Amino acid sequence: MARIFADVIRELFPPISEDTKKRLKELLLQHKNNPYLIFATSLNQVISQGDIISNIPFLTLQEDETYLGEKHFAMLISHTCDFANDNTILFAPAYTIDLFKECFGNNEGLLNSLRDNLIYDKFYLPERDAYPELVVDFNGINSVSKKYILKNLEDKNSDKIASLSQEGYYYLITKLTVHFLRPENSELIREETI
Amino acid sequence: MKDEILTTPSATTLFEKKIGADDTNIFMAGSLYSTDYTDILDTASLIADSYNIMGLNTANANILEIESNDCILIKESWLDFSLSLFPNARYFTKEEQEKFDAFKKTKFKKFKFKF
Repeated sequence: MARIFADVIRELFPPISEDTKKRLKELLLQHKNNPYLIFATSLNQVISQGDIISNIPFLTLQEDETYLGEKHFAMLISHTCDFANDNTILFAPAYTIDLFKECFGNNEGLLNSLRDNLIYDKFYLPERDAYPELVVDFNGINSVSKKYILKNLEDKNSDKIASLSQEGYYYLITKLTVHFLRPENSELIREETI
Repeated sequence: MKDEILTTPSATTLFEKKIGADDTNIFMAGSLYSTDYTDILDTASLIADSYNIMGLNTANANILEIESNDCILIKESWLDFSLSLFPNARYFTKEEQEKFDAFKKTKFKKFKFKF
């Protein structure tokens, strides 16, 4: 049983090579001075995890059973392979930084934390020609029909406007890892079955 | 010797618990709960010695396994590394989150569906 469990753990938490670790730490240092390194210089040929697509609808169920909804820029959260194979795809909304400015006013500390990627469940993207500064919110993830996405891209109602570089992709998955896979509160006691 | 292991101060709670649970099926998952690898490795070495388990090699290995199948140590995971990248990060405070959620209600459209 321990062997099987270890195999599962190994797949879930793959070890990281010293070389990758070094490169990622360098990226973080460089990223502080040049946040644009996060982007690929051209769009990936296939739709890939981390791609930014415009004009995607998001809905959130509210306590009164209504939905709060709006179209936003969106980041593809589903794995690249899952986008190719699945019918429903996960996207996280990417709000403009102006939304946070309007909400929090002159709270420069908070805005700087967002820009420095120091909020665990948010992923900051610097402005590009095609869009302003964006903050991806992992807490707003929605499931969307792939056919809807492809049709909207074909009809030019949505555009794929950015892809992450290899380093930017690593940066994204470290943030996804921390947000979704961080250790649970040590006071939580789960039943052990092995 | 087992008592000695269980009182090893550097071991994590889970670590100790697992080791105490079953002598023949030791699973060490300490690195998932602690970023102090030195402590974990020291403890692992002590345990390996105590149980006469051979093959523990801590040199430059990310995943260490003891071939007897009794003991498995994951030294450093992607999660550990990811956590180490953001030592000063935080979540929104409760007040910030409530303010942001309330703000979105004023900015986004409201829809009603019947199920």
